[in-house]
Amino acid sequence: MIDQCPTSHKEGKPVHAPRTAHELVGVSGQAYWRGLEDASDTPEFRDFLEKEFPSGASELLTGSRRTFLKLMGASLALAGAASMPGCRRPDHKILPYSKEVPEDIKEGKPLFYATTMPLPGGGAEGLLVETHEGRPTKIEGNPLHPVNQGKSSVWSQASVLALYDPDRLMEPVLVQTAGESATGYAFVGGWANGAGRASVKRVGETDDAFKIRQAQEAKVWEEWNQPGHFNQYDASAGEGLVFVVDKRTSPTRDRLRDQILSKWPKARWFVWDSATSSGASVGTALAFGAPMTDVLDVAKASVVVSFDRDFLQYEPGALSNSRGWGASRRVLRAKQAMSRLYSVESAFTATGGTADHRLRMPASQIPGIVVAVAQKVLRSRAARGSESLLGAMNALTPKLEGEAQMYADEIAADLLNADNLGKSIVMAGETQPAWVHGLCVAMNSVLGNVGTTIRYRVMGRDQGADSYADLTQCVELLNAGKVSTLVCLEVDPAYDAPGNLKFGEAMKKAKTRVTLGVDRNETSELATARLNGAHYLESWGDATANDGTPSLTQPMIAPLYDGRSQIEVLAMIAGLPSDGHELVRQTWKAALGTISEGEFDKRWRRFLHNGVIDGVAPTDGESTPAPQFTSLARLASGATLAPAPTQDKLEAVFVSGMMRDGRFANNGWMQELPDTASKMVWDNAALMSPKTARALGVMQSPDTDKKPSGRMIELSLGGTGGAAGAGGGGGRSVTLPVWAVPGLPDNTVVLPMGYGRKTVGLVGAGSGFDVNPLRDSSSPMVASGASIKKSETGDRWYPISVTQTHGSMEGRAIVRELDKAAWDTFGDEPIVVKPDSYGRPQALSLGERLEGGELNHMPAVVPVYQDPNRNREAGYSGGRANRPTPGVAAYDRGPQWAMTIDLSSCTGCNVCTIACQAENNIPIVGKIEVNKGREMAWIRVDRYFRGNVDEPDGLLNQPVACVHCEAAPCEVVCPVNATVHGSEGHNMMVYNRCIGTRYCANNCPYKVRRFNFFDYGVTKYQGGLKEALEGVMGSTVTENLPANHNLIPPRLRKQLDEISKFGKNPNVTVRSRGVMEKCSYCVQRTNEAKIDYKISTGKRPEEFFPDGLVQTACQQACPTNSIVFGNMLDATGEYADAELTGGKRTGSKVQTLREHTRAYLLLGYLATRPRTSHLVRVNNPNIELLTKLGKTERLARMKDPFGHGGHEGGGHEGGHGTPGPGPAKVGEHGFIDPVKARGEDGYRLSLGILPASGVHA
Amino acid sequence: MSAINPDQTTAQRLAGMIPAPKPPRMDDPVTRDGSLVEDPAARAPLVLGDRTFGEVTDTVCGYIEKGPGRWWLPAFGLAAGVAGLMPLMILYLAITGVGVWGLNNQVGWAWDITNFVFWIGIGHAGTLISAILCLLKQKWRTSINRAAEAMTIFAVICAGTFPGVHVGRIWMTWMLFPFPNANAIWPNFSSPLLWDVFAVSTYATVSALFWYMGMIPDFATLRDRAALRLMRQGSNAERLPIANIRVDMIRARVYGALSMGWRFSARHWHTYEKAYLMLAGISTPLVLSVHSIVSFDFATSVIPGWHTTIFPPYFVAGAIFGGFAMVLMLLIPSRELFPGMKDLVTLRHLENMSKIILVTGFMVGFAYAMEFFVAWYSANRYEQDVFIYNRLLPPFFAVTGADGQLKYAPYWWAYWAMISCNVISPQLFWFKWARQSPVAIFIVAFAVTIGMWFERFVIIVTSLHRAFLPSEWGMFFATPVDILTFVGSCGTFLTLYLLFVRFLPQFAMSEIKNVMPQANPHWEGYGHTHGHAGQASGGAPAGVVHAPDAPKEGV
Repeated sequence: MIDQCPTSHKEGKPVHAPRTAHELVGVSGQAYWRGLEDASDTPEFRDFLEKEFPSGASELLTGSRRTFLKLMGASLALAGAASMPGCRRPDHKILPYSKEVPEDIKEGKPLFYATTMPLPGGGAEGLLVETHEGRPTKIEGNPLHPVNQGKSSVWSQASVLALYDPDRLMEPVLVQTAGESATGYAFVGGWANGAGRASVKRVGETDDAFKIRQAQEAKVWEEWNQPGHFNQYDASAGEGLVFVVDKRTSPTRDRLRDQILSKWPKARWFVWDSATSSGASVGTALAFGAPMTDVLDVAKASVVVSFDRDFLQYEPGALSNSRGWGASRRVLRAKQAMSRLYSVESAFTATGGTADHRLRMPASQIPGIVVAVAQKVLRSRAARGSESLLGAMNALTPKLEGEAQMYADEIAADLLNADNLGKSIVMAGETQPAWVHGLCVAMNSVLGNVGTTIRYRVMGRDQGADSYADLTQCVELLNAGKVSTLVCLEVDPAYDAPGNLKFGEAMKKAKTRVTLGVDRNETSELATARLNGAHYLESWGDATANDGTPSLTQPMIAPLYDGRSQIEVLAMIAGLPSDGHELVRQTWKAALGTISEGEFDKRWRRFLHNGVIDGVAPTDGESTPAPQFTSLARLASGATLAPAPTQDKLEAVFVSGMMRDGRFANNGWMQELPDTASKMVWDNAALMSPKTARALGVMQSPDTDKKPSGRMIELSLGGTGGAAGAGGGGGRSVTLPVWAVPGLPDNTVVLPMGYGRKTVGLVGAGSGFDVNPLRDSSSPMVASGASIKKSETGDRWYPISVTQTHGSMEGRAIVRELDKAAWDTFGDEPIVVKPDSYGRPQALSLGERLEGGELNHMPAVVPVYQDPNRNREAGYSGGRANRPTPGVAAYDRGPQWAMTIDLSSCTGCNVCTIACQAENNIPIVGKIEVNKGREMAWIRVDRYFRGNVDEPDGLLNQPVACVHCEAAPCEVVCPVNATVHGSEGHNMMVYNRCIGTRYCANNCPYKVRRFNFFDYGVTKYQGGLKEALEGVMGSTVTENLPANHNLIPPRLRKQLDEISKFGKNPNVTVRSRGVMEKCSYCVQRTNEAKIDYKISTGKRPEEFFPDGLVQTACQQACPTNSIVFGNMLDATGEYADAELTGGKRTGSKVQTLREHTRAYLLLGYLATRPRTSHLVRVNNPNIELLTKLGKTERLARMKDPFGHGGHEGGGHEGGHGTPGPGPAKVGEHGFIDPVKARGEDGYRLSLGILPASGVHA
Repeated sequence: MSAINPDQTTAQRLAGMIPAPKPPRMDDPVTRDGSLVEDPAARAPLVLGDRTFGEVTDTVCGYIEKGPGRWWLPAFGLAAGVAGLMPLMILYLAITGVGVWGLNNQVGWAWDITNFVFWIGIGHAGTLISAILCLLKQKWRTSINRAAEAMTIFAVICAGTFPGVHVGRIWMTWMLFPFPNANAIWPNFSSPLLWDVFAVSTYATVSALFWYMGMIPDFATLRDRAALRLMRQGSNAERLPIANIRVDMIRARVYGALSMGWRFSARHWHTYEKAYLMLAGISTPLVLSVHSIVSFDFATSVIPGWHTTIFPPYFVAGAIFGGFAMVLMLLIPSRELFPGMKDLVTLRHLENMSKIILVTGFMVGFAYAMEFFVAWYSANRYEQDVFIYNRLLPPFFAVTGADGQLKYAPYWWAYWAMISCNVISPQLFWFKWARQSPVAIFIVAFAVTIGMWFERFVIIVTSLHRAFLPSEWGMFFATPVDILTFVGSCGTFLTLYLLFVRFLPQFAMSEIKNVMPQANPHWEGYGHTHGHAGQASGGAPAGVVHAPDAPKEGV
């Protein structure tokens, strides 16, 4: 995949549209494919095929050549017809994103188009979508988009799966009376005929079914021919018309909203987003006069303080934040500046996991530490008017204990450090009340951060809306019977509204209830008109990113089920022409001001091509406003600090993670993506700290005794404690399992939202538990006074699927880390070459020497495998085709692929996992299979807790995929040569040869091989058990059975839906059962790049292949650029960060990092010679804070990070009897433990017996 | 009498012309039959009950001709029913996927390969008894070798099934075999799994040949007896219950075909003896090689707990250990169920095998200890962790690790089951009464069989479930399909063995006769006048001279 980034795109040069097939035939794309499919679908044709093939196969033997050709022709026609449904090219002109626009579309060659995914809660991601023959298959970030810069998030990666979700709403449904439904397109005038579309035959629909459907639609049309339903509101100015829409930033929708509200001034427009609280908008509104969103420049920050905000994941700016954060952590030289991150949090997020200092604290207690910090900061950095705020805070005297006080002191000291002024960021998250957000704004202001590391943008009307206030009002209106028509656009308040609002009941009081959504959900079930929406990959639209960059959404494919987008439906309601393309064009034509039509067309094409809109004046106001301290003081003076939660009155914290508000619940990739800290998939649970779980007697079963399962509890709010705190609400309760996660604050229950959906597709059915009933609209994210009761009825234990049960590294040097003080001391030491235990020279980077590094600590394993460099002297004499070249070994030729993963900048955001899943057609296996330990992810993010696992002081992430060992243990043991080594260093997997002995997986030290225990790839997830049982029992099994569907023989199971197959990458085989698979370094991409390179330059890639022409899927998605992949032989390239390496060398990026002193080989002592190396994580802790916290071991290790004697380079003499800094204490870092030290007596004994060994050298 | 040349007497007696003198009643303190005689200068009789050659033939052939008794049919029905589970489970496995077993990403092999190694190990005793003891001229092997060889064949059949069906794509198993094909795809000759294919198939072939060849004279005897009866009984002969076919006609035909024209000629015997010796010579290295090669599956890997050079001898010793236990488990009930078998398989035999179990039990115990020593000696913490924290530590001795977690071995129960069965239970054989009590021997043999299954489980599952990276640690839980497949393989084994005792000679008759006193050319009946002369060359009969109440005939 040669980079198709148009950085060389010449401004102003017209870009030609491809002459697509539908242009050639002069009709719409649909007509084109429909015609051919119809042609191939005639009974005669079917008869012909069925008669001739395969039963006619025998005719091949007896028949003439003519018969053979006829057969071939028929099968080719069939193949063509089968691929036709994929050619649903959109009607309007869309522009491929590529440097050289092809003259025509080449079948088999993907095209890339720029588009935009509107993010939930506002913001957007600029994307490039890979399309194969008109089918979007893979999402990448748009390199030109300022937020993405080529990167992408888990949500955008997974969104392509949602497009092909077979459970999508396929048709609009009108429900006339309860239980009676009719199908049709007739609801709004113009729905059927407005855009000139008649009912369209669907993929896989038979002629008969199509005719029946057409007839039904015609009938409904007659009965419901009310084109003027909304005209009735013209008279009443919209009285009784209520819109509930999702929170998004779309200029076109804003325009339509304004038009609707000016047409019907009394219509109400409510914005609903369950996952954002009003803290930030109200806080900034008070500070600045208008709700503002912050745009962070983390790369410039030297101190970042996050109060319960997961700014690295699951928020609109997460990608750019991660990029900046990663850049500030990628230290390549000693004494290089590095940011420091403090995280005070109630859940365990990616932000907390990567922080230098993480303090676990109940969400209700965090305001206390914010006050303590703010008091110190405002006292020493007074600004005009800030004393009023300080005065308002005097009433608040936070009682901080022990560590919290130390954190408060040190955070304040660090913020006030003269070096850090104007270079810090203080922020608060969703769980924090508005006044805490206000305090953070005030701190940023007085510290001089505004304008340097942080800038504020005025939120749009929708984004700045207080959802909870909006929805409360809406429910009041509904209950008062003042709503006659309720229009819900892509929201699901019937599921995700707080329990106290009882939205579902209220909703029924509106006479006409219209919902629009891509998926079926709880709200659409209650609708009288359920409209099927268009996925963003099918529709026109626009969205403004978090930093204010607007961009366009263009359809990649004609709507699969004729769904409509939000703006189209809004336009219909408003009685406007409802062509999405025109709607968006109008918006931007107006925004661009007065320019000629031709000029606009030119600009429009550029917008479409680049995926970013430029040249439009920003409307988001001043970026460096000054806060009004007095209004903040008013807010703060009313604040109180909540008492700490106790074991009887637990605190419940509602967090929105991967599922956000539940909208991703039917997305299998998201469901099977492990949570950062708990590694849980397919479920949520009441997450607690191990200490709390033990105290309450609800600790889960240890992973050693039986399959992981959590104790079921009944969690109730306000039932026992009476009026308990802010969130106390009338004895509501939910039943769910408990799962203890190390590092959570004590006496706190963390409840992930978005699970337990009732009306959802097959994938999301039965996953997790709905916690919304516990929530209260007055304090939606935090509730106090929760109590638990162990469930004694029903299932007492609930199986929980986690992809990693063990959280401790067991003292092994797997993830290696270094504190900055030690890095500054030893980082610039040259790489030492020392003899190994057998006396051979061995280069020991800093990474290899750390923590008693294995290479010089353990006796090296002499590999039994052939040395690929063995012919370096004699010359390569590899295959018969290759003539020996003197002085060239096997791995000296051609591109040699290698990868480095920087643990210092990795945040554990999981996007590599999901990007790999999308690129390589990796199936999901389901909850039960994960519970058995059969997940299929090719790249996983291992997480280990630092220190005492029950109360960890850190979380270490380590992405691990196949490391492509040069001496691979898997290759030698495969009896059928199914895993072999490629000449470019690939450890290859030949699926056709694999018979599935699993010996390779057993012998893999990294356990990265994945086995298809069942037909995961080609059978439907959760399909077949019901049907098979119905076959046996002869009756209808209505329930979705929780059993493992894989246990049904695949022939009896449902095969994958035709529509699901559209999303597969055609360049990667879908594996059958019984086959081993694993990371291939995206061999399909490297090979394509080599071919492209050869075609475009005429040079042989074996001789020279420049680095950077190819990216693996994980590398391409990684927001922090932690993953680097490329040709390690390219010594001519210049590493982009050459100045960081001291300018000493040139070489490919991967070569530079591979030979960097921070690089180490995972389990390097095994002599497997991995091609993937990891880079030591460097932390930047505050030494004063560590001293106060009494982390003496860690401080000692800053002086000697090498463990016992390791620094001396393999000397096993010194320090072994009494290991270096002494045996580690429990609860400390603990890489040196007494057992290990004792274990070495044996080795010393053996050295006495083997005097000739080189160890003593 | 004295005028006649003693050799001539022998010849006449062997030809059945004169009756054999009754053997003396030998005595020992326990059995009073001399089989447990303690005198080191004396040799215990290997066949009791004053048998003549004819009586031995009648006894052994009688098991087939008269049938083993009423117990056989129900036992066979039960065993065959259980055996039926195996093809059913394999069918389900084949049409559904390997996931019906409890395997996962971490534990890629579990009961499948455990069962494979378990059965292959059991298959070792047969060839050891047949070949090595033959070469070492251990005469007591003669009455147990046939049953042991049969057991070997059946165990290898059970063993061979598991690697065949454990692969993900059963329909592609043929790719393991190196046969020329258009794609030029050859197996990977450096894979121990491929070595297994060759080792096991060679072993199965040679063992089957050895077994079959040894049975040829016995088949001929069965054929001749059937033919004789047909001639004598004429139309009164026994007929099949289901068809009007004389049973002896079938016997004559089938055993006739199986005996391949054996005519008891001296030339046949001469060739037979040579071939037998050659096959014994070929089999002897196979006994050592097969299990060594099976152990290479593990020893050549990099996984701690597998990557161990001690494995080849350790596996061979374990296989002999487990194989003898299985022979005992089969022979002890047989002695009770078949009349007269106690005279052919004496307590002396059982005691000898008990001693072998004690010795090989020590060998495996030593190997277990050496694993710990080497783990410590290597200074490799991955090795040390595998042995201490994967196998040894039970939860009640859990230690607190540096991370604050209790560390103990999740599979401690498997490890300690192995130790108790394999190391502790054979210690009972230090006591003479235990070695001489069939009940005690059976119990120990049963324990050893269980222990040897656990040994393989410990090596395979325990080593795999917690390897290098703690992130991927996981547990293995057997599914019903796992369990029923194994139970089915036990049923298959038992079914085949029951068919063997019903239709094939359980003893090598000619060999047994060879070790009977009458076979000694110098033997003239118990207590003949030239007494001691026989001692130098005779063997068994000589000892009886010293038997306390040997008949003083002819003195």
